[in-house]
Amino acid sequence: MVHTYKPEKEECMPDKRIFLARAGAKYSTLARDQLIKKINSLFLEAYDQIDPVVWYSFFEKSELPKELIPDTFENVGKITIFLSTLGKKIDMLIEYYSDSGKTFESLIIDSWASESLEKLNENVDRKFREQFGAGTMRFSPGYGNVDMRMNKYIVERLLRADQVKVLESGVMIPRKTTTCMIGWLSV
Amino acid sequence: MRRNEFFQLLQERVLFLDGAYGTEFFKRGVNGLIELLNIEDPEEVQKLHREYIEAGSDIILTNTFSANRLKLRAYNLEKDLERININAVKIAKSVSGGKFVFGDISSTGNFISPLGDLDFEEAYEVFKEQASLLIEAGVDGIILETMSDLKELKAAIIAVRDLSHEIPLIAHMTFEADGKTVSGTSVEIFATLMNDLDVDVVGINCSLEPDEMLPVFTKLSELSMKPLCVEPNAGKPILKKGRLSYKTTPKEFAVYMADFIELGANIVGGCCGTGPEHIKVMCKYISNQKPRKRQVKREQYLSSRTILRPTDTFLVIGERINASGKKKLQAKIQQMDFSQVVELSQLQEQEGCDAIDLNFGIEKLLTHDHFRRAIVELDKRSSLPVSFDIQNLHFLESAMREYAGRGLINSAFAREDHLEERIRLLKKYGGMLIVLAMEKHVPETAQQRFKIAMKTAEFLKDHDVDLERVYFDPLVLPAGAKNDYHATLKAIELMNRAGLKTSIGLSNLSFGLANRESVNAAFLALCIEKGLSAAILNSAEATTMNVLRGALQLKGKEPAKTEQVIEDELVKLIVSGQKEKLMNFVKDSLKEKEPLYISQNMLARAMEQIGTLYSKGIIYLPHLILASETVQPAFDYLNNLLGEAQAKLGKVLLATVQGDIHDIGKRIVATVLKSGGFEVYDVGKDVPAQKILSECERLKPDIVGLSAMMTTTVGQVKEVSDLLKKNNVRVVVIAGGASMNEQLANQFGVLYAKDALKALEICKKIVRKENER
Repeated sequence: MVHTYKPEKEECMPDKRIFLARAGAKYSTLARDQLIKKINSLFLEAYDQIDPVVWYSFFEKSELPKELIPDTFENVGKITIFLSTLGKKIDMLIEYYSDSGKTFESLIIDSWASESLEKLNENVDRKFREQFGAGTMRFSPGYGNVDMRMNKYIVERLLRADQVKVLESGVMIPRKTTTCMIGWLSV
Repeated sequence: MRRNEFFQLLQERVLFLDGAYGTEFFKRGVNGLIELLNIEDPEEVQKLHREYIEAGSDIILTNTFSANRLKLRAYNLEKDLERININAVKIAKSVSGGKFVFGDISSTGNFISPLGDLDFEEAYEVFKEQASLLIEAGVDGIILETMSDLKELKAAIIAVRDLSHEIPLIAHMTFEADGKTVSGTSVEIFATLMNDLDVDVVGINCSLEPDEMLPVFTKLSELSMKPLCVEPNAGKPILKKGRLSYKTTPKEFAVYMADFIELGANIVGGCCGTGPEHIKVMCKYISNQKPRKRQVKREQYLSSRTILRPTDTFLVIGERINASGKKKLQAKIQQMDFSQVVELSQLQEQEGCDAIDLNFGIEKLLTHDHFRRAIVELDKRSSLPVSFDIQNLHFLESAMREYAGRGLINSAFAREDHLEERIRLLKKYGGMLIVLAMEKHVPETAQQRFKIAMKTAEFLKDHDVDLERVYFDPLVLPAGAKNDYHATLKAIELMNRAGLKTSIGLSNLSFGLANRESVNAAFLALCIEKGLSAAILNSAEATTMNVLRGALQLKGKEPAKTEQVIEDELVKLIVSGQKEKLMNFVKDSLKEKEPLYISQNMLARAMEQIGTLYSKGIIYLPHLILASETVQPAFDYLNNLLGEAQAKLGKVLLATVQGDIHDIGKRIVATVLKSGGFEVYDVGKDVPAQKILSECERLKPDIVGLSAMMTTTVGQVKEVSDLLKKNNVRVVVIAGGASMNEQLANQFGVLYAKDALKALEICKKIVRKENER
């Protein structure tokens, strides 16, 4: 059974040090600079545009195709697969800035959103672990032995997340979307 | 909680403070003095404390911000002082559940002299009384908040520390966006004095919203060696659906608070306008973080209330306030006439000194009051930092106690008993120290002097005195008495090599010699070559000052830059408080010019220039008040000649609105308006709208000026304005005060004056328009 979860936006507020590092900047230096006001303003603009949603479901390892099982999941019984997205509007904002030639804004918001999604995944991950105890590291298709194109299978067949489109390449739209898996050792 | 435990905790993680109480209670419909809730509705206070704890606060503050004797007296609640404070602690502790409870203390609501009428010792007693109640009731620490007068903050710090050496103490000031308090103290001056004083944490709160506070906090973080705390406002109050609200949202607040942590904040919380939701989002976003390590500038500075002078290049100390052998000056000092002292201070500033030495010589004939008054008079004129050349230890303490800034003790003998007493003063009041390289007698050789200096350096280090705060005087003896000046030069060289700073009393060398100026200058150049760091000298000696500049230039250094000098002689006269000279100037001018011309084309123009200097931050509030007070008698004199009708521009009625007892700002406005040519009627503080209406009907002013400092009372401005309109009173209403802003004024249908000068400008515009009709 597929569940959906609407997280509070606050769960997606990224750590500034990390998203600025993604954008190639050093927070400790920027905090002393007038530019931090611009960064904060973009932070808040991006925050207003996200609409985070999580789809998730639990599977027996045996019911999943072999191509979807990471090598590192050898000793697991059940697997949680989840998809997190920040929604369409944040993509539109990044594109708007990019198309207007505002590369700085576009870069900052893109980095912000990537880290925001990561923050959301960390929070979802933590909540699952609080419930199910010991598990594998969080894993996403495109790493290790699992092809990124498996995203299509996850989105369309397993989670039936109709708000997310998957291209043949495995790239998902909205862009700020990820699929993740955690294998549980004792469940 | 003990101080070392608090300190340990501050190293481990960033702590969260709570948000505002006053504005939050106001949002919840509480009116009047919120501290009364501690007696009348403790559950309401308990509820808000609980909400802050649930939001994630590690420290909550007692509901005692205004619960000092002077503020309670203004509300006729003095009798409840003990109950209000003790109950506040009980209430907070009843819900704290292991979180820390800090006793909240703020300003007395009065400026200490010279900015106001309050005596330093009275303020000290007021703080001591409140702190004593809070400590005895069991708080874990004390926080001093929203202080805009450095001297008042100092009184509070000393009061708390006289009660307890063990209680953790946080000291805050409140700054404008330009990094200065309304009384002209910069955040740098605050930081460098707090490095010396016995406080555990220093910080900034109120007045500014987070984005405005960031640059001010950055300066603090660069200079403060203490852990840091910060509590910005949630923006400026605006009227929304008939209620006051603050524009900074919880998420916006949280995003900015992360920046303060990146800049090194150890404790973060919120001031006006922040509520539990702001604290909740902040705590959630920032979560568990280790405080950042900061790179603190290790430079040493001397300061007065408004002037900061770095000492690292070369420190020039003016020697001319020295009453020894100057009978006239001695007599004036004895009669508490410090006009010549002030004049000498100003002259030496113009000549390029960084500090002024204060040596009254005739100490046996003086009292504590002489020293206190001298310090107040110098402070009133925003003098350079002071070097306390005071031999009597008790007088020295009186002067240092009264002093708003980081001064220099000149000097201590290298004897343990003498040093110990001066170290005690350094630790209690802050500052730097000159130590003479002698115990009882002047050692003959450089080696002997050096040995004494090194022994003293060890002693100072053992007593936790940073040697960067100390100058060693290698001793200059009169060359005319066959003393070999080479001993001094060699001693400077040895001390310099050992990393010690040195300072000399230059003029001793040429005592009794001809061509003193040339001899002094030549010797100074030799000393600089050996590494001299400071000199007490006669800055009126042009040769000496020129050679000093040249010698420093050769060493690749330059003396600290003097601040912008006022060029207009009349402006200079007024800003420096020279009432008598100004009056003489006016009387002389009357021989050739009409009174109206002098009043409007000379004095009024000079005051306009002074206004511009103030707006540009070249002079500060004390100057502005002094200038207004100085020019007033001259205006009065001219007005008498002119007759009232011709003299006055218009009539202004001033009042602080009902529920608000602050009137410093209003009094400053009154002073500035009077000096600007207006007839001013001040009808007091805590004035009900109905009373303002009846006073308007009686006095028929052209303009009504309202002051509202607190968000809880700012709504009264609208009430007054509406009531006047309803009763067809044709006046223009101008409002000001910490809680007012342009947007709010528009919503209230009044004009907004940010400060006294803006009020004057608006008043002039109004009467000009009236006259054109």
